[in-house]
Amino acid sequence: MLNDYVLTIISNIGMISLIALSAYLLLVTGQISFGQQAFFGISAYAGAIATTLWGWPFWLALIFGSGLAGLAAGLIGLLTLRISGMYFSIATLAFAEMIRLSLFKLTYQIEIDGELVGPNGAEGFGEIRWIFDHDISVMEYTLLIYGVLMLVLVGMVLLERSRLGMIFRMLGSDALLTRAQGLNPVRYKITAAVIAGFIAGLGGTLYAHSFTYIEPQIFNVMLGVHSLAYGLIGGLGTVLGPLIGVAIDIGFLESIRIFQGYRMIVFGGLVAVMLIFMPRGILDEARVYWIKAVARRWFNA
Amino acid sequence: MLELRSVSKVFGELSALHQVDLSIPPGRVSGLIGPNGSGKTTLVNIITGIYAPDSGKILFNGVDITGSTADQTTRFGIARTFQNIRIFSRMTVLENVLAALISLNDQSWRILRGYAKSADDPQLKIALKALETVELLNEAGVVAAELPLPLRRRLEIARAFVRDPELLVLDEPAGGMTPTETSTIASLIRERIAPGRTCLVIEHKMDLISDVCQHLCVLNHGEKIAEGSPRNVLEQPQVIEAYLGRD
Repeated sequence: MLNDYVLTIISNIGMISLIALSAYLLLVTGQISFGQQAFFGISAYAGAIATTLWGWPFWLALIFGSGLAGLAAGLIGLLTLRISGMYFSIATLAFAEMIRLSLFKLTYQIEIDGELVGPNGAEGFGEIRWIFDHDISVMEYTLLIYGVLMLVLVGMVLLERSRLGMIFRMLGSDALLTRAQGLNPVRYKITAAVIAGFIAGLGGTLYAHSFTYIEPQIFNVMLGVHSLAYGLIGGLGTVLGPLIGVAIDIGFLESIRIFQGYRMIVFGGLVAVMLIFMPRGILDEARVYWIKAVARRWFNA
Repeated sequence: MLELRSVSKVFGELSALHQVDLSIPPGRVSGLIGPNGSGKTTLVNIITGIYAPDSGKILFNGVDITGSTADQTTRFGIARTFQNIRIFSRMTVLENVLAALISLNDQSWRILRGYAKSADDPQLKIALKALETVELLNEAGVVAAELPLPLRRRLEIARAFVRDPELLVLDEPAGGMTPTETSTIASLIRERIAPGRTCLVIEHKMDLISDVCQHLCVLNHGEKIAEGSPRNVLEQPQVIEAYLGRD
């Protein structure tokens, strides 16, 4: 059987995959966001407050936290409408830092069973005991995480096959040309931002309940940079791309002891090499088309 | 069809267009020519909503479309190609053409439905027909970035006319092509694209202009210097002077 250490790594891969998919969706639309960790963090706090302080059911808290993250992402999308490229990236980074620093000031505690519980600034937010209160094992919670991840993956595969998904890819290829096809890019950029924020939010609430303790420092820029890098390593041609990126980083570099001390060096080097030799990742669009064509030929034969 | 009234555009100190009046008659191929820097591309960008004019009016089928954005002008029925080829390079040739049809469905829930996957999908049929017209049917599944330049131009043209626009604007359709390739694209425009359609062709190559256009307008230094049938226009002294200079 899988031990708790391995299960924790597997569940971590699942949760981080959600924020990676969130950054990937924006990459597909041509937007490089360094701020998806903000939506992960907003949902982590909101979801944990909902179950721990307000006693909401987990599913409701998950939707509430993710919805709030999607709303915040839509708001940022509106504010950053007129900027693109590097300026957009810097704006998302600034917003994420603003959220992280605000969490240092967030104090909202309620007395439960004689103890003050809730976020308390830099001390963070502990006692997120939903999994203990409901006697959820690590295995059961891991399955729950992968259930959510599967739903998101199925949703994203359907999205990629839809007209909306095609518009996202058109935007990522050439925004002006997309506009010349009679489409208003603003509407679709905001739509993508909301969906991406919601997906990051799913990861955030799941993360808070998995680790039972969160603090503002978790949602720092490195989480955003990693989530972005996962798509760039794994590839932008398919939703499986960011999952490959997460599996390489967390499943391989972080979990294998000999790499642990050098993880950031190896990971950073890997990103640099990929950007030079495979700028759109291992599974880029051309490779995905090739794989599909080979699979089709093989299937027909 | 399309009427420009005293359209002007200034970029900083440079007057790119100065009070240009232009009329594009329906059902014919009009040409827009002029030396480099004469304001042709600025004019096309204003007609197609990429730039807004500083002054003047643009009427399309009697409707004032001045200041409309590029997506709005496309919805009004104006489609274009670009001087520097713009394609969705990571998509297939077929997807590039389907991309032009997508906005026909984007106001409804159908935006979430799969795009043209089944063989009896009407949009798929229209897209394939457009590819057949420009002789790109065999390349339908090829990633657009892999096409050579002449085929990219054809793809752009297919993407522009697949929506059956009321006005088709072709910005240098033979740009960067050899004389043989230019002749082929001219035949394509004359025989397959232009019949029954209103077109505006912007081009440097006089043989293509003479071959496909029935009406011609000449710009120089942001001002219109001649308009009329190609034969008459090309014989006018001010046009010869604009291209060849003064003795």
